[in-house]
Amino acid sequence: MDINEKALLYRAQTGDRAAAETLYERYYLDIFTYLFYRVSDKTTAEKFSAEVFVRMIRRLPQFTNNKITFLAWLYEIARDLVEEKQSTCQPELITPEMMTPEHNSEDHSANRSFKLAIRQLNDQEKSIIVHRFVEGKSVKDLVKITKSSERAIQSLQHQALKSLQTALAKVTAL
Amino acid sequence: MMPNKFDRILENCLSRMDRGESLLDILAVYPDQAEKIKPLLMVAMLSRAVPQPVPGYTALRVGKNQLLAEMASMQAEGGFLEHKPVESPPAGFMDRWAKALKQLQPAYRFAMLSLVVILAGGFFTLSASASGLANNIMQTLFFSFEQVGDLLLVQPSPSKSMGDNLIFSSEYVLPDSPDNYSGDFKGWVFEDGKKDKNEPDPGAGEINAQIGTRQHTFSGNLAAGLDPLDVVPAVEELDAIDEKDLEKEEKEAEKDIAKEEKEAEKEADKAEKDAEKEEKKDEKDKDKDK
Repeated sequence: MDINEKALLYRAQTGDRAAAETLYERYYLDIFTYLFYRVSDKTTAEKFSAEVFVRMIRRLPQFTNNKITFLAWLYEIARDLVEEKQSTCQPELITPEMMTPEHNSEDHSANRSFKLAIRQLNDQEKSIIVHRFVEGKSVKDLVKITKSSERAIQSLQHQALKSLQTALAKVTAL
Repeated sequence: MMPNKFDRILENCLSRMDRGESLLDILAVYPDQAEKIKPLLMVAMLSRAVPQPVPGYTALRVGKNQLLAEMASMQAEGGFLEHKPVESPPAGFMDRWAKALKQLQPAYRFAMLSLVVILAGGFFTLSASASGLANNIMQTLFFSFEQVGDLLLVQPSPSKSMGDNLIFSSEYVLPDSPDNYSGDFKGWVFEDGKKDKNEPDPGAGEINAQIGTRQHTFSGNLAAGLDPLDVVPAVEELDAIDEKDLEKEEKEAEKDIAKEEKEAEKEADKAEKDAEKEEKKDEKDKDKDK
């Protein structure tokens, strides 16, 4: 974390609106992309993204950047939110109807296949595919976000690619 | 093959793909693993080809408004941290000097730095020449530096010959008011310190006359924190004081002379009276004898 981000976080923690807006604009896309591949559709991802940042500002005074980076902390909030929604009001964020071509008519076929395939992966695999290949983050970035070793990330990446390959085969067979 | 090794190979292939190498080139590096790597790299390429989802502008604004509304409610509740201004650490000696130098005008700054360089240079050249040996090949250089240092350094004015071992003591106190001024020379101060500098010398009057100059000493205590230069009388003031003293002494001398003349007259009168008395006595004795 660079000095500018530390200063920005400190300002946001003391109630600076401009600093909070900057944080929102800087990290919104990362959170939205992550949520987009975890939930049913774009609208839900947008709604959840807004909720993540509201939770972020509530918990920000307690945030310390000694153990975790700010982005990793935001991903934790997003993951907790999705799990919470899944366990309470929406047990199945991806319904069987969503996997039909009619539901995703606005998507191109390749994108739709990928989107449907990735939703069949487990959370860890889903996260690593999104971070590593959709967002284009490096293995070192993933080490910071997931707090795992480089070797573990490489192993998980291999496993995730294999699972996605299988899932894609299933989706295209539909 | 060990699973870790394959993971590393896969990561290496993905890194090459990131750098823009073609799939065939990458697979050519690992021909033994090509069959196993190829489908995984294809899936990775498909994942990278997927366009990133773009959030709607309205959703972005709505999300930001929700964030700011939450901030406003938290501020009302006092939920944020208190802003504490960062205290700067106390400035060190060098920092204070650097700050003081920065505040000076460039000309003064240059003068200050030049003075420091000259003094330091003078010190080093003098110390180097003092430590130089007679047969040292650098001796000429040391002497040259010494001469340059002597030229650059401020030369003290030649001391006036005021007598053997005569010094001026800095312990002489300066007057804090004109009333404390005294025009009398109170005595010599010798370097050996045998004579008390505060004790008036018995022969001071004679020495004053011989030297023909007047020494001024001051009595009284200098007020604490007072600049001596502010207290020392100006040359004009000293001259005026000298003139007053001379006039006073001349008057006293005139008085003394007048007094001596009066006494001489009295003595002469007395002697005349005594002589008259003796004459009268002698006459009486002669009359008795007759």
